[in-house]
Amino acid sequence: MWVWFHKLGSPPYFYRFSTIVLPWLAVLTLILFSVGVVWGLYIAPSDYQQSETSRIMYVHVPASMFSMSIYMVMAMASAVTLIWRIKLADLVASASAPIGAAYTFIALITGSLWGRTMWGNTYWEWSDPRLMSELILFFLYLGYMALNSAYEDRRRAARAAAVLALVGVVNIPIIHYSVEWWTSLHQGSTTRGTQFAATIDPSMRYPLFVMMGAFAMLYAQLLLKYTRCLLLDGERNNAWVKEMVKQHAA
Amino acid sequence: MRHALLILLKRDLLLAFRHPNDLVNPLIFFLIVVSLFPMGLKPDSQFLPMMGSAVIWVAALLASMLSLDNLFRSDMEDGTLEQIGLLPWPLSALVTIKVLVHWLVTGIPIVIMAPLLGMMFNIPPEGIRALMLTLLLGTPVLSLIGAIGVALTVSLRRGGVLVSLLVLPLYIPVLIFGAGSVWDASLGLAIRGPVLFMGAILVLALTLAPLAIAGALRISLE
Amino acid sequence: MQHDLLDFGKWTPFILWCYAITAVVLITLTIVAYRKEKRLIREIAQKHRRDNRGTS
Repeated sequence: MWVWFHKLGSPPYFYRFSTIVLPWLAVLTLILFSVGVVWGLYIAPSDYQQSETSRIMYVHVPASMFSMSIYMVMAMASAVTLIWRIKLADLVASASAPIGAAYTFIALITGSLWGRTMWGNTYWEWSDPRLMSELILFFLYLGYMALNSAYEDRRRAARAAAVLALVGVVNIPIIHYSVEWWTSLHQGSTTRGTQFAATIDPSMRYPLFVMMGAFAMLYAQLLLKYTRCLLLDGERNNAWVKEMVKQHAA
Repeated sequence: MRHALLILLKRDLLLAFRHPNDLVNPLIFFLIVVSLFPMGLKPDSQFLPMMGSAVIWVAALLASMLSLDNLFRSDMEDGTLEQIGLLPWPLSALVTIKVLVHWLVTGIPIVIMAPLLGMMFNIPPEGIRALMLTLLLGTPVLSLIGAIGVALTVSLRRGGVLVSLLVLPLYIPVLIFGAGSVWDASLGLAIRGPVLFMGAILVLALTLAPLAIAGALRISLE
Repeated sequence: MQHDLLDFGKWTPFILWCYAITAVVLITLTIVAYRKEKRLIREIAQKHRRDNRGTS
Protein backbone atom coordinates (compact mmCIF):
# COMPACT_ATOMS: atom_id res chain seq x y z
CA MET A 1 0.00 0.00 0.00
CA TRP A 2 2.77 2.40 0.89
CA VAL A 3 4.96 1.42 -2.02
CA TRP A 4 3.88 4.34 -4.16
CA PHE A 5 4.77 6.64 -1.31
CA HIS A 6 8.23 5.17 -0.89
CA LYS A 7 8.77 5.34 -4.60
CA LEU A 8 8.14 9.08 -4.42
CA GLY A 9 11.33 9.35 -2.41
CA SER A 10 13.33 8.51 -5.52
CA PRO A 11 14.08 11.70 -7.47
CA PRO A 12 13.53 10.42 -11.05
CA TYR A 13 10.26 8.79 -10.05
CA PHE A 14 9.16 11.92 -8.26
CA TYR A 15 9.98 13.98 -11.30
CA ARG A 16 7.97 11.80 -13.63
CA PHE A 17 5.08 11.61 -11.17
CA SER A 18 4.95 15.38 -10.75
CA THR A 19 5.09 15.92 -14.52
CA ILE A 20 1.88 13.94 -14.81
CA VAL A 21 0.16 15.50 -11.79
CA LEU A 22 1.09 19.15 -12.27
CA PRO A 23 -1.18 20.07 -15.22
CA TRP A 24 -4.17 18.57 -13.42
CA LEU A 25 -3.32 20.49 -10.27
CA ALA A 26 -2.96 23.70 -12.27
CA VAL A 27 -6.36 23.27 -13.88
CA LEU A 28 -7.98 22.35 -10.58
CA THR A 29 -6.43 25.36 -8.85
CA LEU A 30 -7.64 27.67 -11.54
CA ILE A 31 -11.19 26.30 -11.43
CA LEU A 32 -11.37 26.40 -7.64
CA PHE A 33 -10.06 29.96 -7.48
CA SER A 34 -12.46 31.21 -10.14
CA VAL A 35 -15.43 29.53 -8.49
CA GLY A 36 -14.33 30.59 -5.01
CA VAL A 37 -13.72 34.23 -5.87
CA VAL A 38 -16.98 34.65 -7.78
CA TRP A 39 -18.94 32.81 -5.11
CA GLY A 40 -17.27 34.70 -2.30
CA LEU A 41 -17.57 38.13 -3.87
CA TYR A 42 -20.93 37.93 -5.56
CA ILE A 43 -23.08 34.96 -4.66
CA ALA A 44 -22.48 34.55 -0.93
CA PRO A 45 -24.67 36.80 1.23
CA SER A 46 -23.05 39.55 3.25
CA ASP A 47 -23.01 38.94 6.97
CA TYR A 48 -25.65 41.00 8.74
CA GLN A 49 -23.23 42.10 11.47
CA GLN A 50 -20.07 42.59 9.53
CA SER A 51 -21.70 43.73 6.31
CA GLU A 52 -19.73 43.21 3.16
CA THR A 53 -16.36 43.02 4.90
CA SER A 54 -17.01 39.36 5.70
CA ARG A 55 -15.97 38.74 2.11
CA ILE A 56 -12.39 39.26 3.21
CA MET A 57 -12.77 36.04 5.15
CA TYR A 58 -12.62 34.00 1.96
CA VAL A 59 -8.97 34.89 1.46
CA HIS A 60 -7.93 35.57 5.04
CA VAL A 61 -9.09 32.34 6.68
CA PRO A 62 -7.60 29.89 4.13
CA ALA A 63 -4.33 31.82 4.01
CA SER A 64 -3.89 31.89 7.79
CA MET A 65 -5.02 28.29 8.15
CA PHE A 66 -2.54 27.00 5.59
CA SER A 67 0.25 29.26 6.81
CA MET A 68 0.17 27.17 10.01
CA SER A 69 -0.28 23.81 8.27
CA ILE A 70 2.58 24.50 5.89
CA TYR A 71 4.85 25.04 8.89
CA MET A 72 3.70 21.66 10.18
CA VAL A 73 4.48 20.07 6.82
CA MET A 74 7.90 21.71 6.96
CA ALA A 75 8.53 20.40 10.45
CA MET A 76 7.47 16.87 9.53
CA ALA A 77 9.62 16.90 6.41
CA SER A 78 12.48 18.22 8.57
CA ALA A 79 12.05 15.37 11.03
CA VAL A 80 12.18 12.91 8.13
CA THR A 81 15.32 14.64 6.85
CA LEU A 82 17.05 14.31 10.18
CA ILE A 83 15.96 10.75 10.93
CA TRP A 84 16.04 8.97 7.57
CA ARG A 85 18.08 11.44 5.57
CA ILE A 86 15.76 11.24 2.58
CA LYS A 87 16.93 13.92 0.22
CA LEU A 88 13.49 14.63 -1.15
CA ALA A 89 12.11 15.38 2.32
CA ASP A 90 14.65 18.13 2.77
CA LEU A 91 13.70 19.61 -0.59
CA VAL A 92 10.03 19.52 0.36
CA ALA A 93 10.82 21.40 3.57
CA SER A 94 12.89 24.04 1.80
CA ALA A 95 10.33 24.41 -0.98
CA SER A 96 7.54 24.89 1.54
CA ALA A 97 9.20 27.84 3.26
CA PRO A 98 8.66 30.56 0.62
CA ILE A 99 5.10 29.41 0.00
CA GLY A 100 4.36 29.41 3.72
CA ALA A 101 5.91 32.83 4.11
CA ALA A 102 3.77 34.15 1.25
CA TYR A 103 0.58 32.70 2.78
CA THR A 104 1.52 34.22 6.13
CA PHE A 105 2.11 37.55 4.46
CA ILE A 106 -1.33 37.40 2.82
CA ALA A 107 -2.91 36.47 6.14
CA LEU A 108 -1.20 39.45 7.82
CA ILE A 109 -2.19 41.97 5.17
CA THR A 110 -5.79 40.81 4.82
CA GLY A 111 -6.10 40.43 8.58
CA SER A 112 -4.98 43.98 9.14
CA LEU A 113 -7.27 45.34 6.42
CA TRP A 114 -10.17 43.34 7.83
CA GLY A 115 -9.29 44.55 11.29
CA ARG A 116 -9.22 48.13 10.08
CA THR A 117 -12.87 47.85 9.11
CA MET A 118 -13.74 46.68 12.63
CA TRP A 119 -11.32 48.48 14.93
CA GLY A 120 -11.89 51.85 13.42
CA ASN A 121 -8.77 53.85 13.01
CA THR A 122 -5.88 51.41 13.21
CA TYR A 123 -4.48 48.98 10.71
CA TRP A 124 -2.64 47.11 13.40
CA GLU A 125 -4.03 46.06 16.75
CA TRP A 126 -1.44 44.59 19.10
CA SER A 127 -4.16 43.07 21.21
CA ASP A 128 -5.32 40.68 18.49
CA PRO A 129 -3.77 37.31 19.34
CA ARG A 130 -4.24 35.88 15.87
CA LEU A 131 -2.40 38.66 14.11
CA MET A 132 0.38 38.45 16.69
CA SER A 133 0.83 34.70 16.25
CA GLU A 134 0.76 35.18 12.51
CA LEU A 135 3.45 37.87 12.73
CA ILE A 136 5.71 35.64 14.80
CA LEU A 137 5.12 32.79 12.38
CA PHE A 138 6.23 35.12 9.60
CA PHE A 139 9.46 35.78 11.53
CA LEU A 140 10.00 32.05 11.96
CA TYR A 141 9.65 31.51 8.21
CA LEU A 142 12.08 34.33 7.49
CA GLY A 143 14.62 32.92 9.95
CA TYR A 144 14.30 29.47 8.39
CA MET A 145 14.87 30.83 4.90
CA ALA A 146 17.80 32.95 6.05
CA LEU A 147 19.51 29.97 7.66
CA ASN A 148 18.77 27.74 4.70
CA SER A 149 20.41 30.11 2.26
CA ALA A 150 23.36 30.94 4.51
CA TYR A 151 25.03 27.55 4.04
CA GLU A 152 26.69 26.85 0.76
CA ASP A 153 26.63 23.10 1.14
CA ARG A 154 23.06 21.95 0.43
CA ARG A 155 23.17 18.92 2.68
CA ARG A 156 24.33 20.83 5.74
CA ALA A 157 21.93 23.66 5.02
CA ALA A 158 19.13 21.12 4.94
CA ARG A 159 20.01 19.58 8.27
CA ALA A 160 20.69 22.86 10.05
CA ALA A 161 17.41 24.30 8.80
CA ALA A 162 15.65 21.10 9.83
CA VAL A 163 16.84 21.53 13.43
CA LEU A 164 15.58 25.10 13.37
CA ALA A 165 12.19 24.07 11.99
CA LEU A 166 11.79 21.51 14.76
CA VAL A 167 12.77 24.01 17.44
CA GLY A 168 10.23 26.37 15.93
CA VAL A 169 7.48 23.80 15.97
CA VAL A 170 8.01 23.13 19.66
CA ASN A 171 7.78 26.86 20.21
CA ILE A 172 4.59 27.48 18.26
CA PRO A 173 2.15 26.32 20.97
CA ILE A 174 4.13 28.22 23.61
CA ILE A 175 4.05 31.35 21.50
CA HIS A 176 0.35 30.85 20.94
CA TYR A 177 -0.46 30.59 24.65
CA SER A 178 1.83 33.43 25.65
CA VAL A 179 0.21 35.70 23.08
CA GLU A 180 -3.26 34.66 24.23
CA TRP A 181 -2.36 35.37 27.84
CA TRP A 182 -0.76 38.66 26.95
CA THR A 183 -3.69 39.90 24.89
CA SER A 184 -6.21 38.80 27.51
CA LEU A 185 -4.61 41.38 29.82
CA HIS A 186 -5.74 44.16 27.55
CA GLN A 187 -9.42 44.72 27.66
CA GLY A 188 -11.46 44.40 24.53
CA SER A 189 -9.38 41.89 22.67
CA THR A 190 -11.25 40.89 19.57
CA THR A 191 -12.63 37.39 19.39
CA ARG A 192 -13.43 37.74 15.76
CA GLY A 193 -12.12 34.42 14.51
CA THR A 194 -13.40 31.81 16.90
CA GLN A 195 -16.90 33.05 17.46
CA PHE A 196 -17.27 33.78 13.84
CA ALA A 197 -16.27 30.31 12.71
CA ALA A 198 -18.70 28.66 15.10
CA THR A 199 -21.70 30.66 14.04
CA ILE A 200 -20.96 30.83 10.37
CA ASP A 201 -23.87 30.32 8.09
CA PRO A 202 -23.81 27.43 5.58
CA SER A 203 -24.29 29.84 2.72
CA MET A 204 -20.95 31.34 3.69
CA ARG A 205 -19.33 28.08 4.68
CA TYR A 206 -19.37 26.50 1.24
CA PRO A 207 -17.53 29.27 -0.61
CA LEU A 208 -15.05 29.23 2.27
CA PHE A 209 -14.47 25.52 1.70
CA VAL A 210 -13.97 26.14 -2.00
CA MET A 211 -11.36 28.77 -1.26
CA MET A 212 -9.64 26.47 1.23
CA GLY A 213 -9.52 23.86 -1.49
CA ALA A 214 -8.08 26.41 -3.88
CA PHE A 215 -5.35 27.43 -1.46
CA ALA A 216 -4.55 23.80 -0.74
CA MET A 217 -4.30 22.89 -4.41
CA LEU A 218 -2.17 25.93 -5.11
CA TYR A 219 0.14 24.89 -2.28
CA ALA A 220 0.40 21.37 -3.69
CA GLN A 221 1.14 22.70 -7.13
CA LEU A 222 3.74 25.23 -6.02
CA LEU A 223 5.29 22.70 -3.67
CA LEU A 224 5.84 20.27 -6.54
CA LYS A 225 7.17 23.05 -8.75
CA TYR A 226 9.63 24.44 -6.21
CA THR A 227 10.73 20.95 -5.22
CA ARG A 228 11.41 20.18 -8.87
CA CYS A 229 13.50 23.34 -9.16
CA LEU A 230 15.59 22.41 -6.12
CA LEU A 231 15.91 18.87 -7.42
CA LEU A 232 17.13 19.97 -10.85
CA ASP A 233 19.52 22.41 -9.25
CA GLY A 234 20.97 19.84 -6.88
CA GLU A 235 21.17 16.92 -9.29
CA ARG A 236 22.15 18.73 -12.44
CA ASN A 237 25.05 16.36 -13.07
CA ASN A 238 23.11 13.13 -12.64
CA ALA A 239 22.35 10.86 -15.54
CA TRP A 240 18.58 10.95 -15.17
CA VAL A 241 18.51 14.73 -15.26
CA LYS A 242 20.55 14.78 -18.44
CA GLU A 243 18.29 12.17 -19.99
CA MET A 244 15.23 14.15 -18.97
CA VAL A 245 16.60 17.39 -20.32
CA LYS A 246 17.44 15.72 -23.63
CA GLN A 247 13.87 14.45 -23.93
CA HIS A 248 12.61 17.88 -23.03
CA ALA A 249 14.71 19.55 -25.69
CA ALA A 250 13.77 17.07 -28.37
CA MET B 1 31.38 11.65 33.76
CA ARG B 2 30.72 14.02 36.64
CA HIS B 3 34.44 14.59 36.80
CA ALA B 4 34.55 15.52 33.13
CA LEU B 5 31.67 17.92 33.53
CA LEU B 6 33.38 19.57 36.51
CA ILE B 7 36.61 19.96 34.58
CA LEU B 8 34.75 21.52 31.67
CA LEU B 9 32.92 23.84 34.05
CA LYS B 10 36.17 24.92 35.66
CA ARG B 11 37.88 25.40 32.33
CA ASP B 12 35.10 27.52 30.86
CA LEU B 13 34.79 29.66 33.98
CA LEU B 14 38.53 30.17 33.99
CA LEU B 15 38.50 31.14 30.33
CA ALA B 16 35.65 33.55 30.95
CA PHE B 17 37.47 35.27 33.80
CA ARG B 18 40.71 35.48 31.83
CA HIS B 19 38.92 37.82 29.42
CA PRO B 20 37.27 40.30 31.73
CA ASN B 21 36.44 42.57 28.80
CA ASP B 22 34.22 39.98 27.17
CA LEU B 23 32.60 39.55 30.54
CA VAL B 24 31.86 43.19 31.21
CA ASN B 25 30.98 44.39 27.72
CA PRO B 26 27.51 42.80 27.50
CA LEU B 27 26.65 44.30 30.88
CA ILE B 28 27.75 47.76 29.79
CA PHE B 29 25.72 47.25 26.64
CA PHE B 30 22.72 46.32 28.79
CA LEU B 31 23.18 49.45 30.89
CA ILE B 32 23.55 51.76 27.91
CA VAL B 33 20.60 50.37 25.95
CA VAL B 34 18.35 50.63 28.98
CA SER B 35 19.35 54.22 29.66
CA LEU B 36 18.90 55.22 26.02
CA PHE B 37 15.14 54.76 26.18
CA PRO B 38 14.31 57.41 28.79
CA MET B 39 16.51 59.82 26.85
CA GLY B 40 14.30 59.28 23.84
CA LEU B 41 11.27 60.31 25.89
CA LYS B 42 10.49 63.59 27.55
CA PRO B 43 12.28 63.82 30.90
CA ASP B 44 9.12 64.00 33.01
CA SER B 45 7.33 61.29 31.16
CA GLN B 46 4.77 59.35 33.13
CA PHE B 47 5.18 56.40 30.79
CA LEU B 48 8.50 55.60 32.39
CA PRO B 49 7.40 52.90 34.85
CA MET B 50 5.10 51.38 32.25
CA MET B 51 7.89 51.17 29.71
CA GLY B 52 10.54 50.17 32.18
CA SER B 53 9.61 46.52 32.42
CA ALA B 54 9.57 46.10 28.65
CA VAL B 55 12.76 48.07 28.09
CA ILE B 56 14.75 46.19 30.71
CA TRP B 57 13.54 42.88 29.36
CA VAL B 58 14.32 43.72 25.74
CA ALA B 59 17.77 44.95 26.71
CA ALA B 60 18.32 41.73 28.64
CA LEU B 61 17.37 39.71 25.56
CA LEU B 62 19.79 41.65 23.38
CA ALA B 63 22.64 41.55 25.87
CA SER B 64 22.23 37.83 26.40
CA MET B 65 22.06 37.16 22.67
CA LEU B 66 25.03 39.31 21.71
CA SER B 67 27.21 37.80 24.39
CA LEU B 68 26.44 34.33 23.07
CA ASP B 69 28.40 35.03 19.92
CA ASN B 70 31.59 33.64 21.35
CA LEU B 71 30.00 30.65 23.09
CA PHE B 72 31.32 28.10 20.61
CA ARG B 73 33.30 30.17 18.13
CA SER B 74 36.75 30.20 19.74
CA ASP B 75 36.41 26.55 20.71
CA MET B 76 35.45 25.77 17.14
CA GLU B 77 38.41 27.64 15.74
CA ASP B 78 41.08 26.02 17.90
CA GLY B 79 39.57 22.55 17.54
CA THR B 80 38.52 22.13 21.17
CA LEU B 81 34.94 21.62 20.14
CA GLU B 82 35.85 18.73 17.90
CA GLN B 83 37.69 17.10 20.78
CA ILE B 84 34.71 17.62 23.04
CA GLY B 85 32.56 16.02 20.37
CA LEU B 86 34.79 12.96 20.43
CA LEU B 87 34.43 12.40 24.16
CA PRO B 88 32.57 9.26 25.18
CA TRP B 89 29.96 11.26 27.10
CA PRO B 90 26.83 12.70 25.56
CA LEU B 91 27.51 15.99 23.84
CA SER B 92 24.20 17.36 25.09
CA ALA B 93 25.39 17.17 28.72
CA LEU B 94 28.69 18.80 27.87
CA VAL B 95 27.14 21.70 26.01
CA THR B 96 24.72 22.25 28.88
CA ILE B 97 27.77 23.04 31.00
CA LYS B 98 28.93 25.59 28.48
CA VAL B 99 25.50 27.21 28.49
CA LEU B 100 25.47 27.14 32.27
CA VAL B 101 28.76 29.04 32.32
CA HIS B 102 27.34 31.59 29.93
CA TRP B 103 24.36 32.07 32.21
CA LEU B 104 26.58 32.38 35.28
CA VAL B 105 28.71 35.10 33.72
CA THR B 106 25.99 37.11 31.94
CA GLY B 107 22.57 36.02 33.20
CA ILE B 108 23.30 36.41 36.89
CA PRO B 109 24.92 39.85 36.58
CA ILE B 110 21.90 40.99 34.56
CA VAL B 111 19.60 39.80 37.35
CA ILE B 112 21.72 41.66 39.89
CA MET B 113 21.84 44.86 37.85
CA ALA B 114 18.11 44.85 37.11
CA PRO B 115 16.88 46.39 40.42
CA LEU B 116 19.09 49.43 39.95
CA LEU B 117 17.75 49.98 36.46
CA GLY B 118 14.23 49.35 37.68
CA MET B 119 14.65 52.15 40.19
CA MET B 120 15.84 54.44 37.42
CA PHE B 121 12.48 53.77 35.77
CA ASN B 122 10.47 54.40 38.96
CA ILE B 123 9.19 50.85 39.04
CA PRO B 124 7.57 50.19 42.45
CA PRO B 125 9.21 47.64 44.81
CA GLU B 126 6.72 44.86 44.01
CA GLY B 127 7.54 45.30 40.35
CA ILE B 128 11.27 45.14 41.04
CA ARG B 129 10.84 41.92 42.99
CA ALA B 130 8.90 40.47 40.07
CA LEU B 131 11.56 41.73 37.68
CA MET B 132 14.31 39.89 39.51
CA LEU B 133 12.25 36.74 39.83
CA THR B 134 11.26 36.63 36.17
CA LEU B 135 14.77 37.46 35.00
CA LEU B 136 16.10 34.68 37.20
CA LEU B 137 13.71 32.23 35.52
CA GLY B 138 13.97 33.76 32.06
CA THR B 139 17.68 34.35 31.46
CA PRO B 140 18.60 30.63 31.51
CA VAL B 141 15.96 30.10 28.81
CA LEU B 142 17.51 32.91 26.81
CA SER B 143 20.94 31.30 27.10
CA LEU B 144 19.60 27.88 26.11
CA ILE B 145 17.58 29.02 23.11
CA GLY B 146 20.31 31.40 22.01
CA ALA B 147 22.85 28.59 22.16
CA ILE B 148 20.78 26.66 19.58
CA GLY B 149 21.01 29.59 17.19
CA VAL B 150 24.72 30.02 17.80
CA ALA B 151 25.37 26.30 17.36
CA LEU B 152 23.55 26.37 14.02
CA THR B 153 25.60 29.26 12.69
CA VAL B 154 29.00 28.70 14.29
CA SER B 155 30.55 27.23 11.15
CA LEU B 156 29.40 30.15 9.02
CA ARG B 157 31.79 33.00 8.54
CA ARG B 158 29.21 35.66 9.30
CA GLY B 159 26.82 34.46 11.92
CA GLY B 160 26.14 37.65 13.84
CA VAL B 161 22.97 39.09 12.33
CA LEU B 162 21.72 35.69 11.29
CA VAL B 163 21.68 34.50 14.89
CA SER B 164 19.39 37.34 15.88
CA LEU B 165 17.02 36.47 13.03
CA LEU B 166 16.82 32.89 14.21
CA VAL B 167 16.72 33.49 17.92
CA LEU B 168 14.71 36.63 18.59
CA PRO B 169 11.34 35.24 17.43
CA LEU B 170 11.87 32.29 19.76
CA TYR B 171 12.53 34.69 22.64
CA ILE B 172 9.09 36.26 22.34
CA PRO B 173 7.20 34.06 24.86
CA VAL B 174 9.82 34.72 27.53
CA LEU B 175 9.63 38.43 26.84
CA ILE B 176 5.84 38.45 26.98
CA PHE B 177 5.59 36.60 30.27
CA GLY B 178 8.56 38.37 31.82
CA ALA B 179 7.67 41.95 31.01
CA GLY B 180 3.96 41.28 31.44
CA SER B 181 4.29 39.97 34.96
CA VAL B 182 6.54 42.84 36.02
CA TRP B 183 3.87 45.24 34.87
CA ASP B 184 1.14 43.23 36.59
CA ALA B 185 3.11 43.10 39.82
CA SER B 186 3.66 46.83 39.86
CA LEU B 187 -0.11 47.25 39.58
CA GLY B 188 -0.46 44.97 42.59
CA LEU B 189 -1.90 42.02 40.68
CA ALA B 190 -1.03 38.38 41.29
CA ILE B 191 1.69 37.06 39.03
CA ARG B 192 1.71 33.44 40.10
CA GLY B 193 0.33 32.18 36.79
CA PRO B 194 2.86 33.72 34.43
CA VAL B 195 5.74 32.97 36.80
CA LEU B 196 4.74 29.31 36.95
CA PHE B 197 4.44 29.32 33.18
CA MET B 198 7.95 30.71 32.91
CA GLY B 199 9.15 27.95 35.18
CA ALA B 200 7.51 25.43 32.87
CA ILE B 201 9.21 27.01 29.86
CA LEU B 202 12.53 26.80 31.70
CA VAL B 203 12.05 23.09 32.42
CA LEU B 204 11.06 22.43 28.83
CA ALA B 205 14.03 24.38 27.48
CA LEU B 206 16.35 22.61 29.90
CA THR B 207 15.23 19.19 28.66
CA LEU B 208 14.94 19.81 24.93
CA ALA B 209 17.39 22.59 24.11
CA PRO B 210 20.57 20.61 24.96
CA LEU B 211 19.52 17.94 22.45
CA ALA B 212 18.96 20.58 19.77
CA ILE B 213 22.26 22.30 20.60
CA ALA B 214 24.15 19.02 20.41
CA GLY B 215 22.45 18.10 17.12
CA ALA B 216 23.20 21.51 15.67
CA LEU B 217 26.83 21.33 16.76
CA ARG B 218 27.26 17.92 15.14
CA ILE B 219 26.00 19.42 11.87
CA SER B 220 28.35 22.38 12.23
CA LEU B 221 31.29 20.08 12.96
CA GLU B 222 30.79 17.95 9.84
CA MET C 1 -28.48 40.08 -3.60
CA GLN C 2 -27.57 42.34 -6.47
CA HIS C 3 -24.31 44.25 -6.76
CA ASP C 4 -22.69 46.53 -9.17
CA LEU C 5 -19.50 44.86 -10.21
CA LEU C 6 -16.74 45.92 -7.80
CA ASP C 7 -19.09 47.78 -5.49
CA PHE C 8 -19.41 46.48 -1.96
CA GLY C 9 -20.67 49.54 -0.21
CA LYS C 10 -18.74 51.41 2.41
CA TRP C 11 -15.72 49.12 2.61
CA THR C 12 -15.19 48.47 -1.08
CA PRO C 13 -11.52 49.54 -1.26
CA PHE C 14 -10.60 47.31 1.69
CA ILE C 15 -12.20 44.24 0.17
CA LEU C 16 -10.71 44.90 -3.23
CA TRP C 17 -7.25 45.52 -1.78
CA CYS C 18 -7.40 42.20 0.04
CA TYR C 19 -8.25 40.29 -3.10
CA ALA C 20 -5.78 42.26 -5.20
CA ILE C 21 -2.84 41.76 -2.86
CA THR C 22 -3.62 38.08 -2.50
CA ALA C 23 -3.80 37.71 -6.26
CA VAL C 24 -0.55 39.56 -6.83
CA VAL C 25 1.35 37.52 -4.24
CA LEU C 26 0.04 34.17 -5.40
CA ILE C 27 0.47 34.87 -9.10
CA THR C 28 4.01 36.14 -8.56
CA LEU C 29 4.83 33.02 -6.61
CA THR C 30 3.48 30.82 -9.40
CA ILE C 31 5.23 32.70 -12.19
CA VAL C 32 8.52 32.61 -10.31
CA ALA C 33 8.21 28.86 -9.86
CA TYR C 34 7.41 28.13 -13.48
CA ARG C 35 10.07 30.43 -14.87
CA LYS C 36 12.70 29.12 -12.49
CA GLU C 37 12.19 25.58 -13.70
CA LYS C 38 12.28 26.61 -17.33
CA ARG C 39 15.51 28.51 -16.78
CA LEU C 40 17.10 25.59 -14.97
CA ILE C 41 16.21 23.16 -17.73
CA ARG C 42 17.62 25.51 -20.33
CA GLU C 43 20.83 25.94 -18.34
CA ILE C 44 21.31 22.23 -17.90
CA ALA C 45 20.58 21.54 -21.55
CA GLN C 46 23.16 24.13 -22.60
CA LYS C 47 25.80 22.71 -20.33
CA HIS C 48 24.97 19.24 -21.56
CA ARG C 49 25.45 20.30 -25.15
CA ARG C 50 28.73 22.01 -24.32
CA ASP C 51 29.99 18.90 -22.55
CA ASN C 52 29.09 16.72 -25.52
CA ARG C 53 30.95 19.00 -27.87
CA GLY C 54 33.98 18.85 -25.62
CA THR C 55 34.16 15.05 -25.61
CA SER C 56 33.38 14.39 -29.25
